[in-house]
Amino acid sequence: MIDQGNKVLRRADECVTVLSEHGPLTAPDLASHLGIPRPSAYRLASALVHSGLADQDDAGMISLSTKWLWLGDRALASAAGGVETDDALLQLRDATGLTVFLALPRAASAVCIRTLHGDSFQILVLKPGGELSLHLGAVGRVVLAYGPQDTEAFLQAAPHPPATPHSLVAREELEADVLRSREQGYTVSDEDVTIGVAAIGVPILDAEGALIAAVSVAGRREDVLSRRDEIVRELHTCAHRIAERPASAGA
Amino acid sequence: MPSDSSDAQGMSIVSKADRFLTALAEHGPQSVAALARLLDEPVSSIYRLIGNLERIGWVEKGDERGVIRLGLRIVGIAQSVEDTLDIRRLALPELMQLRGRTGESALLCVRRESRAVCIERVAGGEVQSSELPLGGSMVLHRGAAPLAILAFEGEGFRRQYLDRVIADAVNPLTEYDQRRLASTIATVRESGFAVSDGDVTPGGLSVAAPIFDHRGIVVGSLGISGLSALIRAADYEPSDLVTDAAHRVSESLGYRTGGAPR
Repeated sequence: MIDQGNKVLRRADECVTVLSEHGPLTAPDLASHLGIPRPSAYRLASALVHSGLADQDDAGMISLSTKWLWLGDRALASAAGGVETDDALLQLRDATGLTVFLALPRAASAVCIRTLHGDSFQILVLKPGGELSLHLGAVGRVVLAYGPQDTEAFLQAAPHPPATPHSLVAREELEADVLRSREQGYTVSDEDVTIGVAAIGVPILDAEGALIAAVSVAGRREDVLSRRDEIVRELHTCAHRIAERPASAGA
Repeated sequence: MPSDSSDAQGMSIVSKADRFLTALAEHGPQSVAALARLLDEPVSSIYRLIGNLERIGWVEKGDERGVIRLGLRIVGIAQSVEDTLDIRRLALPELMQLRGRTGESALLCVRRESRAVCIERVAGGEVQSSELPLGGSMVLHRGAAPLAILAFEGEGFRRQYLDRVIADAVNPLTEYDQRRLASTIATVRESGFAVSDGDVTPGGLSVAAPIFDHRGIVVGSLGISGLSALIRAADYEPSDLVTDAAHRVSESLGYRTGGAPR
């Protein structure tokens, strides 16, 4: 009986995942996606609907409710503390015209919490809630260089799976990358996540030098790499603005 | 069937989990003891729940020792919900209802750069205004639907927009126009709806209200548009109909006026 709650919640999470990936489904469809008996799917769906985490329309289609939007906003606010500073990010986006990402360090990844799209292209690889492994992308590799995680353990697990032929996967490559990032104060991601796309990222550090978040600017490779110095300058301005803002208490 | 009954018992855990998430959302990160108090549950069962919720990423440990907060996985789920929300699909039934109730054209606008674009329109019966056809656009400071958007944009955007309009080479605003526009915007913000009476089309009246998303950001406006004489003589209050309809669309986009949903 002790594991009953665990089992049900795991299943509830699988159910939420299926609904978030496939959109509205009927209970029988849900049952087949989850590989569980129909009565269990009906019960699970009705528990989610009853608690307000899902809605069911007249045709019996079950979908995630907008309550998740509220929970998501609150999750962002409490995870990011004072970091969610849209003014600084907006200014960075307007100054560069490129897509801006803000990501938080987590166990073995950088989790994106904010995306502001650029003028010309929407870089869709990273959305709020999405994550990049520490060997991928500007924010992933900024976290690798500055983050609180066990870097040695991560490097030992190399080679890591590549996203493109340009991804850094081997231990030596990643070690060199960490040194380069720390030396330069910024990290360049050149087609290592998406072909044709480059990004530059910098760390946002608190007064003690601990990593609060990583901020990056991404766009068409030519647009980013030809303006490297200017973009790095704008990134540092943004990072300083965010770091200076005191974290709001209890949030 | 034994699996059925344990299933049923287990289901109350979902509502318990929901209450747990709701408490964290309402009160921010909390200690285990505070959560036990808030949810009126023994500390031991709170610990068990946290363990289970942590495993699926719905909650995580905070930066401060012993503090629990909502997990970032929730952000990803929220994003996928947001991605499926389509303002046009959600507003269409409201536009049909407005058209049915008033007999006038009902329309939905969103902002693209510095113009309001009509992305849905349910045509009225007798006299149709041609000022905002489907796909048509208008500057933000004229007409009810554009003004309903402009008035609720952030202050920074509004200032930038007005500076640009004032300095416009072809059609700059006079000082009198500027003062009038500022007072119109203030009125729209206060009343929650915009009225344009004959100032875009002589004899035409339109009334529109803003639509907000879950962050409270204005994402569009909806309203009706028709002959002033007809609407003035009608037995309905256009501003009430329009603000109620816009509010329902906002709610379906996750907008709340306070506290937890439901």
